[in-house]
Amino acid sequence: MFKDENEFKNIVKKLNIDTKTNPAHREKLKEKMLSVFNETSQNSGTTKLVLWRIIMKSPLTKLAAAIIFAASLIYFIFPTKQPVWADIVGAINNADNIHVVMKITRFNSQIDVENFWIKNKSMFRAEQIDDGITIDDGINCLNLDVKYKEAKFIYSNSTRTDNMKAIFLKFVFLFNSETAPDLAEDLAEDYKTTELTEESTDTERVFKITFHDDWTGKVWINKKTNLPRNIIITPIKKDDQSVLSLEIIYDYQPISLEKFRFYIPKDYKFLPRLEDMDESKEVNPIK
Amino acid sequence: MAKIVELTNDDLVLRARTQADALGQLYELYYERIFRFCVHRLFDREIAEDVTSTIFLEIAKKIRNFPGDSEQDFANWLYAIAANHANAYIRKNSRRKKLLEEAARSTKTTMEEKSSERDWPRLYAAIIKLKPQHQTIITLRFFENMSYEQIAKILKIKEPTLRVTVHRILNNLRDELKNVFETEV
Repeated sequence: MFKDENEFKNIVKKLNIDTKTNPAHREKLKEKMLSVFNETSQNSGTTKLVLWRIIMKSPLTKLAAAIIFAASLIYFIFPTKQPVWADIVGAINNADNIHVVMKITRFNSQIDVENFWIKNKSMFRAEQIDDGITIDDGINCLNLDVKYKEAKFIYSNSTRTDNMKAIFLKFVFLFNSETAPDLAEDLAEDYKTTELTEESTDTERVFKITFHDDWTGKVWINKKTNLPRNIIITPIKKDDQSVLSLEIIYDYQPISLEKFRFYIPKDYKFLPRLEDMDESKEVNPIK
Repeated sequence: MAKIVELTNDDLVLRARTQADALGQLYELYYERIFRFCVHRLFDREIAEDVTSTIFLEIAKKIRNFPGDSEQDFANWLYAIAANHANAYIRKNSRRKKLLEEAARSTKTTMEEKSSERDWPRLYAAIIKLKPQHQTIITLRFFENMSYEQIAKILKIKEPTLRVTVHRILNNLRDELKNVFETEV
């Protein structure tokens, strides 16, 4: 008889329990599971909510995901068949400086503002509510956790180039949608866009956008540059996200390189990411 | 030369919300563990396969709304769903009875069998008499070797409470095994 936890552990350890898996079941279940996943995807009106959740929850991909969200609004509201699409894609692709301000108004009247700067398609800076400040100069990426006063490098250059770029960057900048073709197609079909000719002016086109029964809003496009200026969307159903509205403001004025300079405040603890530790020591990015 | 770092499992969890290939990779990472958990909880391999299927199909349906952002969050969520399904299965009286009967039958083994082969059904017969949540706790702690911290997160209970509960469960098990097997265990 066992006397304590350790002795009970030993009894369990000695048990000869057959837990060998059945490869046929494993394969069949995987197939079925992915089929269910894809069906859910096709029937779901929540794809954008997923993007939203990624923005709100992911400390690792907040920057990229937030930009995806902002950019995807532009991407998907103009299905490729519409002539205006190519112009807008081209305009965004050619923009060397993009400053994105996301204003999230919550039901309790709280307004959260997050900022993203993108320069030369390779340099990023994000200032976010939960994740603090992220600076990526195209070579190194630094995260400043404002709450805990910690600084750490979150990606090496090669990681960004090989993975982040492959997953997000092309998508973000609308080079193509090869990394997420299914998602792109789904969303493109899910958006409904109508030009509000009565609101359009000599300088701007205004479109009404609707995503299923989830979100609705407007987008303003500069007629001359074909660049988006502003997007305001609100959830149609007041769900548990407690977001009253989301406003995205785009600005294309030249961004100073100073925005992408690494800076670690004196009272911050420096925590290099383990995988990048050697590299970060060599680079010494703190200027 | 910069060191190439593979996508972490945390990245995989985030991608799995929208990408089937990422979900498939997560499945490969966790299928064996969940099946093993189900065998430990349900004794019968076929039933374990059925419940494993139910668990992963639920994951496929719910992954888009999964609220976490790390592999640890995912594991906690997955095991919580697994525990719920296993408990639901056991709560069905007929199944519980069947499991008990099967475990009892297995205890009537020949002396030629190794003691380890006899002990599992006997121990299971004692475990299955516990409350479903206590069964889950015992399985996660002693069969899956999880920390108190992780079990507390999975079951959404406080760690000190969990420790006390484990202590009580072991006392119950000790009594149960003593009554059934007297001094044999």
